[in-house]
Amino acid sequence: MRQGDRAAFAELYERREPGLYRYALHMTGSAAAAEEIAHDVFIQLASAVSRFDEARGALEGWMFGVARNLVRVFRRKGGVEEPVDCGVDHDILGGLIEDENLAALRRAVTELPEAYRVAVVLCDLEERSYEEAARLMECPVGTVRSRLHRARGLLAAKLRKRAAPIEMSGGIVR
Amino acid sequence: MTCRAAVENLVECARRRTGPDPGVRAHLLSCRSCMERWESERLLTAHLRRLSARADGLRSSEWSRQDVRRHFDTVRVRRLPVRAGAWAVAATLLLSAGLIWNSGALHRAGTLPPAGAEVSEEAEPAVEGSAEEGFMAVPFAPPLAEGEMVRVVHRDLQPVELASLGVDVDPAWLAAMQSGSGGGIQAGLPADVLVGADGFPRAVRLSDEPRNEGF
Repeated sequence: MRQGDRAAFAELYERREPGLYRYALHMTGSAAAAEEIAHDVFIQLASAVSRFDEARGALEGWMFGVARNLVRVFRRKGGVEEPVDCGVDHDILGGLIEDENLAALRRAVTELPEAYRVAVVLCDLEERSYEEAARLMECPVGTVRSRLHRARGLLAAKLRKRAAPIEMSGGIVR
Repeated sequence: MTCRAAVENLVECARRRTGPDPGVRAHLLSCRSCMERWESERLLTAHLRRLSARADGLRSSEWSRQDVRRHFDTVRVRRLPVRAGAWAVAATLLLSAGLIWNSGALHRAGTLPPAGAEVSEEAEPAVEGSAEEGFMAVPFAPPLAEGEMVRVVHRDLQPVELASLGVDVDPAWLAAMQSGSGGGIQAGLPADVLVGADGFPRAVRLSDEPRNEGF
């Protein structure tokens, strides 16, 4: 790819873009911002690929680092979240309740402090291992674990305020 | 078991969607707050999974993908000539450095003026040179391309022509030469001119073999 191999770049795009897009989507709560961020990461990569130094870190880490910075820029500019249309079929009432609950959860995730939000997005939404998350977050595994536990505690507290609608969605098993 | 230890285990069990360890299960029976936490953790995991599943398959639009590819192609095309150009510049610099070094060696080596001629100190750089010594680079000449063929042309050059090639001839020395050669020097000073494939002179050296092969 460093030699300008178009096929290698296209393959990398196919492999990495969905993960970057979803990461940005969960971090910002905005599909438009997610697309822009994923796009800009690859634009920066295309421009800098010949100067990329593997000795300084893995390419994936570099890409997530760029995405993280772009997310910060988006949020600093006061990015507004928007509903994400996922096109899932469901019955109307159940769908409305679930949509409401998921929207509340999405909002709660985007309101978390960045360090906790990244942990939730990588470990719980992207289902990465603690080790992978630690590599991308550039911190020890123990830190990832403690941030995730703290983040889940905050999310649980926020959602408890909306306990009634959530219970209606049938998530509790006693 | 403490609540803190129980919660550590509960979070991981909820994430893995497995039941709590036996010790934690016994703790849950006696601790209402940990039981509530266990339930909220399970619920949270279920909702996070749903949120994650909703994002499955989502990705950027085709327009975005095409735009990234277009940008990559643009950068790649821009990068290739730059790389080739860098090699050409490097080769030219090396060649120029060689010519300048030769010229410097010429200056250091001194000169073998024609027999009987008197050479003043000021005129020395202009009359330096012999067939065995190097060339002086013509100032501001366009650089030679990588692998460009050159040829050496022998020609009698007038002082004004030499001056245009960067070689100053001292008038006193020239007058002495003319009187010493009985007027034969009027035809010009013999010189070797290194010419590029484009016909432009790149370096010159004074020679003591009068010849005139033309450019």
